[in-house]
Amino acid sequence: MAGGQQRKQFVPAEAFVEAARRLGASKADAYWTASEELPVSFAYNRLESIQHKRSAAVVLRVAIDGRVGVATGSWGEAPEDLAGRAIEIARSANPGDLDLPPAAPLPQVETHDLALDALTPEQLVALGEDAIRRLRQAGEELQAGTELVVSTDHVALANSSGFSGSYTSGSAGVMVEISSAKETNIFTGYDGEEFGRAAEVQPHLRQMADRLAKLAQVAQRTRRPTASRYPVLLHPAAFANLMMPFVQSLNGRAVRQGVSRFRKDQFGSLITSEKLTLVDDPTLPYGVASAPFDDEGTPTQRNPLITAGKLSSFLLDRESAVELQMAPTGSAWRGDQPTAGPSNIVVEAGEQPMQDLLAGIEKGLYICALMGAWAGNPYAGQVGGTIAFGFWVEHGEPVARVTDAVFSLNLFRDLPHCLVALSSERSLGRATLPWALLDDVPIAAQ
Amino acid sequence: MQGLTEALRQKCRRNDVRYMEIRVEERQSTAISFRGPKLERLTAGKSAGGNVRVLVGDGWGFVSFYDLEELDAAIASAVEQANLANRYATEQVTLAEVAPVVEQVPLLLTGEDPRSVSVQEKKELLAAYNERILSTVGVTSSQVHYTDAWVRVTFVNSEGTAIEQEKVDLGGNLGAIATRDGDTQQDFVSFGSTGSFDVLRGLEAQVEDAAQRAVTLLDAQEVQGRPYTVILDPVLAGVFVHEAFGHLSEGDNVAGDANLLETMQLGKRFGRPILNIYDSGLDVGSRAYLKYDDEGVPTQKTYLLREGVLVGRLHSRETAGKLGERPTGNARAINWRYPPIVRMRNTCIEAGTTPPADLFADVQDGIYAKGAYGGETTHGNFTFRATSAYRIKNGKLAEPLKNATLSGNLFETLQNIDAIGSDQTQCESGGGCGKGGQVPLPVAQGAPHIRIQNLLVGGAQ
Repeated sequence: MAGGQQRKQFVPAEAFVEAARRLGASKADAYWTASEELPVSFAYNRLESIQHKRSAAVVLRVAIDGRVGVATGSWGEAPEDLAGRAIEIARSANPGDLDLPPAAPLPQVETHDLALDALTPEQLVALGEDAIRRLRQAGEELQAGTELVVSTDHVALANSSGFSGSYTSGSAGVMVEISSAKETNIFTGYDGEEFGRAAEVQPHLRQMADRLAKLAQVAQRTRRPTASRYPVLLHPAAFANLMMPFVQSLNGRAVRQGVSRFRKDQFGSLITSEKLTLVDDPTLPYGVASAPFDDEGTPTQRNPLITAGKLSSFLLDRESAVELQMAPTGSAWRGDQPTAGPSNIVVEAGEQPMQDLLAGIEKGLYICALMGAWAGNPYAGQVGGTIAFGFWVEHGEPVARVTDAVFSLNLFRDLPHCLVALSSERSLGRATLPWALLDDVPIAAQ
Repeated sequence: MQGLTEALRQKCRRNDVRYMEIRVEERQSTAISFRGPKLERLTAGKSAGGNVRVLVGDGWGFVSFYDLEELDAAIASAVEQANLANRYATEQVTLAEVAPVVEQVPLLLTGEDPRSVSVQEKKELLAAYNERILSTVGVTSSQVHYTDAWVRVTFVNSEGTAIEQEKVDLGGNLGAIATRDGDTQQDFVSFGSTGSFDVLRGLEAQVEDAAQRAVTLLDAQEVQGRPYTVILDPVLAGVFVHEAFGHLSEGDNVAGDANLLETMQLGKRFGRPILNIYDSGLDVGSRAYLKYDDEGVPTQKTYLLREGVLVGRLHSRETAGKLGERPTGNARAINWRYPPIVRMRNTCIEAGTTPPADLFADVQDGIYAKGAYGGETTHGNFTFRATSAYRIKNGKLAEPLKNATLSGNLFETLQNIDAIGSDQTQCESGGGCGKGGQVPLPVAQGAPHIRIQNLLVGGAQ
């Protein structure tokens, strides 16, 4: 990465596995990650900081005497020391075993655009300055900010069943923000996307900045809606809040635990709106979370979770797959221990442009950001949040920023009748999502 | 002082920068989790790393590294970035002056050192709570998490400060999940401390209550969305003061915006005379406690509101310098990978004079909201989610309610706090605060019951 130093040679993951075997472990896997980040941030219309972050960690799992232990270490720790700590903590574990995949053919997945590595701090500063200029078109009294973060991650995994693999992935995340404070009338609007290709950064950043600047001009006017049910267009960032209960409830561990409302005998059954197709796709070319294998070493695959409203699959790591008597889907990701989770979440686009969906709203809301919606109860499907940056729409045009209003929906109960259409454009990132037009959405207000 | 500290001090003696600091951190941790009856996580962690932050002219550079042997290269890189940032600088950076400190701060415990408790004993204690949760009629699963960490931070700067600090930090949640007919409800007990492992002992009754609340929520009605008179329990009142007022008191959130600074002018009235709010880093044992912040500034108790009037805010050296105020020891980083930014510590509403029971007495139609899943703010507005809620009718608690999302404009809501309980509860949780990509930072809150008029509650229509 530009601005970086030459990377040191890491102790190979295989060396940790071998050390564990030498100390008596019957099975082991070792997972290395080394990351570099180059964040350039602007706040209050000016360059705030240029940073360069480097981190590295290794995780060793061992099975010994019918128990599993896990230890994490950092640069410089000898394989024998880490293996010794993993074996020591295994002594306190409950009976268990490691299910480790053998070597297997891996899919060809494009994960690393080398052009990202060539982005220099100077180029990122120039991109940021351009974004600030565009945001400030909304008004000189507004405060604009932006952050650009170029990341590179190196992953290596080896296990005692013969698996050995590594890959490098890269991404560029961009965020734009604009805020205004006039006495006690304060608002902040923001947007963000993440890309796997360097060529996507500039056009998307400009588009986001221009779109946000236009909305910020409208945001100077405010309106308190009356409590009622309205048609609502959700920006992809707000729509992401509605997808989280699905993603969490379709996690194999939640299904196995019984906290999810979904079961495998529902495969093929309609569980939500037929307009919704939700896919987890770690094989997406240059996807932000793309990888040829998951963090247990299972080959990745495109995994349709909901197809035209029908339940298709779960996110399965090896443990939940065994317990549900299914095949793992290559959906194990980790901090220290692997657990089932999403990679690149993709909602299939609709047919109408977002502007057409907006134009069809006679009186309703356009919600760009919900505040606190993450703090709900995902397994109950409840999504509720204050409208942090949203607009009152009349005759297809946002005319004023909405204040003092709360969005509330039970996703599982309400989406089948609420979801009207999805846009043809999508926002990019770990979640590739369209704009979503809903109808009959309850809005609580002062 | 150890050799490391002296070596870092040598590195900080440079003539080509205005200011430089080096922070090196060592960490050893334990993590234990149950999901349902299954022990899902048992991990022994160890990590180390550091960072260099440099000011050249009016530009900052920051580099983090995981190999101390790369320190010289990291310094060179940080200086290079600071030079670049200085070329684009449009505002003067002023660091508020603080006296250099040379100190080795020993570990300060208030009770049982978590490192003296074996992993086996920790696991068995958590397993016992987990079994208690799972044996509650109506509970279908559980989520139990525990982490502890010993951390040693070495901080030196080019002004002569050299500080070594040690702390232990533990926290977690003991959560019950009740599922019936496709509906899932949950509640939990949260705990945390930097002083003692004792906080994890003797929680049996609280765990049983939480498990029972999760079951009760299955039969609760969904709250009807509209404004109510709302009484917050101390946990939720603590989240409220953190989200609604604490973040707006952070110097970096106001220093760059002249309009917002005008709104948040010291001396302005924001609440009734009954309202007093402060933030403190002095509470030994709290997850928010540490003697020095991550710029080497002593932590302190900072009043934000006194009798409803804005009297202070939280600062790093840079934000204090910019506003001509004093640094408050609130520059914090979650770990060595990040630079310090202005963060809260233990943010509290002082107890009032109204007996808690009297808060309810004249509420004809209201809501009693308890516990918090979390909250969020965008300066002027805030939202938080109660874990459970009850209707108040004619001064009495009535039926349980679920899915209560509380929302409001900060300034109106502060004025609408019309009664403050005489009780006071310190809330130490296993979670943390998020800001600027740094999450979870251990924070704490203290509050009594408070009553708010005309607070919007989201829900069904």
